[in-house]
Amino acid sequence: MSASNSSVRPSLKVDLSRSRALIVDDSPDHRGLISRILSSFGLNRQEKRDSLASAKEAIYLQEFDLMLVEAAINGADGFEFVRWLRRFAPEPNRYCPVLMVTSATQRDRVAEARDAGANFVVAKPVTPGVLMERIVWVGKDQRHFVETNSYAGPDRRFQHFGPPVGTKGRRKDDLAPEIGAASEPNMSQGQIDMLIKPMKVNL
Amino acid sequence: MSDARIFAVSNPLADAVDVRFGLEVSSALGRAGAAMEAAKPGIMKAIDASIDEIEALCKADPAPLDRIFQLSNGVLGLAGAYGLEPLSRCAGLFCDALDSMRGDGRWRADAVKIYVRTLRALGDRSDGAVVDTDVLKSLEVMNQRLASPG
Repeated sequence: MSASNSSVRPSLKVDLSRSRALIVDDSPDHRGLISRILSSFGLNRQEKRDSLASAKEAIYLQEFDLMLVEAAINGADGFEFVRWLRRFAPEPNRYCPVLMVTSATQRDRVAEARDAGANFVVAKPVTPGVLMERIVWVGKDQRHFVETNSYAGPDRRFQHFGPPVGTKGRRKDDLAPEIGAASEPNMSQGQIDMLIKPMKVNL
Repeated sequence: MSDARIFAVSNPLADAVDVRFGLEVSSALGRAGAAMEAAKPGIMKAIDASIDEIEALCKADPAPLDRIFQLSNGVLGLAGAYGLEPLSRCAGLFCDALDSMRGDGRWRADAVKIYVRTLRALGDRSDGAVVDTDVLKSLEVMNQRLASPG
């Protein structure tokens, strides 16, 4: 088991005892695994939901400090859920940090998670070290929130994000809004982080 | 010109990480490792049960692709978290293959059969079980063929 493969300073301290997490995953065992890891981190206030409808209910009832969402619920509805969250969920949950958990780490899928409004993507398998690292990153994430016609979520302006929806891009690496079958090999967690981690740019 | 609204939001975890008083990351990770070890027997049973169900469902006509994907996705996460990397990788490749099949609306019983056999073999943790990880390379090649048009 890789419990300690984290780049976070071991002496850094966290206090998640007052935080509340929403775990959305349709696999009961995987949901339980994430729940156990979070409890070990002191994050005991958890709401575990196995469907998106049920997760939406929870969002109307309680305020959350962190959401972990499986991307592949009912195929790939986790993305749709985050899009809904960023557009229509009540405040302050609308701005809640979201970690998207996914097995599909092809570049286009990671880009889809980012464009849905997730703060970070966690590639499966989820280990304690990786989860702790992402929680610390999220805690230190100072990105502004952006709302446009085509996007709502943390500021993504750290590289080119493709043409507006419904238009054909001019650049060869423009991403189409429609995500089809995987066209590239899976990326490593490091490559995912490079794609999604915010960096300052000159505007 | 689009109407972009950019504004600051409060980060609810900002006061929970890198704090003066709290749980050290090293302790938290140690506790998580112990909790996972305690849960290991149950997780291994869950993995076996998932592979059993995948095997049974793949024989159905029509096979419930979404449920098979869900189970395989679960095996990927659980096996990987417990260091069963070849099994986790195989389950991940199976998810990719199922995605391709979902995309072109065509159930590939031949490919599925190979995946079920491989999952079963890699899931065998009994003494003397041989893990041939070269098979994963073959599965990657098979997936490329499944994903290619025509």
